[in-house]
Amino acid sequence: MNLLFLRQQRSRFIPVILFAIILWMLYQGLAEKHPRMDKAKGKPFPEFTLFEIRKNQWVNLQDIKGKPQIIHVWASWCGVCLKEHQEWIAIKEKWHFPIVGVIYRDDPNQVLHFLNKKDDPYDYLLNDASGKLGLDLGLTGTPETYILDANGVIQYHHLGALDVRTFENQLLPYLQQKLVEQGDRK
Amino acid sequence: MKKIALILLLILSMPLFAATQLYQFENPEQQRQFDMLLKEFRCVTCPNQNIGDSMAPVATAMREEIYRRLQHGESPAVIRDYLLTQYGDYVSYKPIVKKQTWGLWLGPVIILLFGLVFWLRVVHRGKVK
Repeated sequence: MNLLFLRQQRSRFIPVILFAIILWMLYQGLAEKHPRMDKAKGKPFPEFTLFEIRKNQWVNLQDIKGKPQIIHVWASWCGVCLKEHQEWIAIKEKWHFPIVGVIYRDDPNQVLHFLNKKDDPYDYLLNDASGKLGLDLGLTGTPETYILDANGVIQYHHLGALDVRTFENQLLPYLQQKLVEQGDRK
Repeated sequence: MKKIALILLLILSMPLFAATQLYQFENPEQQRQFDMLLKEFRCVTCPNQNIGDSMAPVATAMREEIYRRLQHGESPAVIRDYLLTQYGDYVSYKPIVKKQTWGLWLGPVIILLFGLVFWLRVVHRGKVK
């Protein structure tokens, strides 16, 4: 095969090149992570003031800042969340990290009824009744989990159900490192 | 046949009609803006529906937020910016033309041109033979 042959046959390569371009575009769109997942990390957690449904008090972001936090957005109407709940019980029992639960557009009575039956791993249980915090986060559904650093900046974001193994492999190293740095452990 | 088509059209438009019926507007322009925005944004839970059709909680929250912001006098452009900032370009059925979306907007045109050129060459070769 020489250059003259290639030049004469160049039109035959056009469909191949076009097909390669289409395949590359499909790869860009389908194989890469959801663009929003990469957007969350490094962003400050949105300011909020939500009602704590067990303590009957208003809680805002400033109240939970100061140390790394796990924020778990879920709902009692969400089947995946209910199935995932036992994982959070296990995570709490094993590592004792504080967990902030945010219930999304849910009935507080139904949530409390569920937690009374199935145990409650949450240090805070905040009611995002309108879903405004969810919008400010770019929430696509429940459950979703965020790890914040002490300054309230998102360091990790997990879409979907979380299990003990994923927590141990992906979230725990960060949390333990931060706690060692702070010299504090609950 | 026309009657069946009309009935089908009414049934298919009911979800959007149901969504906007829940909201009271100060004037027809505000309703028009609301309807336009509902059709413009994709439900992030059920991506094959717009937020006007979808009953997913996030879509409902988006509708309520759009309504609340319109009631507060915010323009569709500001509301659009807010949703795009939170969710990215993929949430819009009309992504802005920019470097990151050139492929999306120009791709079909380029492919069509290639196809046209290829077809013309095939036809030309056929005539030569």
